[in-house]
Amino acid sequence: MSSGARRSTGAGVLGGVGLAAFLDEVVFHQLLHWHHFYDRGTPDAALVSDGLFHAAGWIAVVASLFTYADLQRRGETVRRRLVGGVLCGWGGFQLYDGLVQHKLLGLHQIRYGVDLVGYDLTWNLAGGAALVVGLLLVRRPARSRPAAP
Amino acid sequence: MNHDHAVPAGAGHLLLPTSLAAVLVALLAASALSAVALAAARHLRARGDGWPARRSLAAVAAAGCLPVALALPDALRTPPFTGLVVQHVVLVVVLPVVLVLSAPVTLALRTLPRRLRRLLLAVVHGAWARAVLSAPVVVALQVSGNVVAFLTPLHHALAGRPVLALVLHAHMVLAGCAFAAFAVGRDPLPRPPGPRTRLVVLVLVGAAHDVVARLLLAHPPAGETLPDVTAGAHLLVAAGTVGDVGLAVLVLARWYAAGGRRLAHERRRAAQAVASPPNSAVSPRAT
Repeated sequence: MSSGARRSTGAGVLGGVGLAAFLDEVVFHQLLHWHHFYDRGTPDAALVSDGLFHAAGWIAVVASLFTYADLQRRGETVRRRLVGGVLCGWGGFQLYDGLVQHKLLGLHQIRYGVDLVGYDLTWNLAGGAALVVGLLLVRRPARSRPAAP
Repeated sequence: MNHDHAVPAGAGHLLLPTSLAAVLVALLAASALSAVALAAARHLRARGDGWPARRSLAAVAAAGCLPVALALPDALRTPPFTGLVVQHVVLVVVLPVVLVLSAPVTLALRTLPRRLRRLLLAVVHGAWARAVLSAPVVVALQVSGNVVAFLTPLHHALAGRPVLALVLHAHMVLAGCAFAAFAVGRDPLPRPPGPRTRLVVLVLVGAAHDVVARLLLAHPPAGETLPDVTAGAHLLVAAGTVGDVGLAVLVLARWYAAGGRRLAHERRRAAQAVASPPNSAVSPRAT
């Protein structure tokens, strides 16, 4: 049972990171054209980090789906851990993207030609909120239902 | 094939020959290799051994990559740098994968005459094979070939030295084969890695393609035009992503199938354990 809980969390985190990386690419890069996968003048360290997450994101989604399928056929899925893991992975990636990649490493900004403060605050606060809710879901012990209000 | 005159210092020097004669020679070589693989498989079947048809199909596809790689840049009328990436994708991404799916070493070991088989066994059991087919070496070989071919000025030095250019291509194809054999090969490995190790290797090699493509855009090689480098870099990322995700699906599908067999086995044993106690109590041989 505990292995099912642990693996549910793991599948969730992988899926969350992968989905966030994937949506970041599809929505902002390809649909909205707010930023490109490469902007001239980007430092090399940021390019390495971005490339790594692009490659890892896809494989994380695939690994998450197969792990979920395995949990389901064994009847071991712990849904709250799974959802908490997705939120953790999603929020964690968004915070990493917003704080480390965009600010520290100087990768592309979220959008160009507009005041960035609102975008930055929204992006990072949404990521932080998802991470906190996810951690609460994952860390709450599985069998303390009666204690919760 | 006339691109070289337009860009004297560019990556067009690394392009393998695309003339009609070269394509015909490659086609001949591919036919010969396919014939050998098909004859070996038929020999096995005649002997009563099973040899799946999809492995023969993979072997023919691998041989077919040679003429296709030579013919594509002219057929698609790509500029020189994009042409180089096209050849790279066919020879270093597609060819190794379909080759290792055809289990060439197993086929050779089963059909070669005894002396040659001993020689091949000594090679695949040797320390060299063991070292090359380990995760760090596989990644280092794969990444180094990419970096040297696309990012360093080495290809300028290779201008007018077709033999050295061929050596670099051979290095990349062999590195690709080591990587593919490690990740999804059908031949048994000296130390078979678990699915997690295979996935980490896939992530690192896929990331290397992404990073090299981004660095190409950041620092376009001298002698190339920007649209050409941009198209080539995007093709590198796209092919790297498709190949990487495909290989990850293959690795995980095998893990899932193996898990299913284990699970069915466990359930059978559990069912037997439930069913057997009354039987064993009756049978005097149970003690």
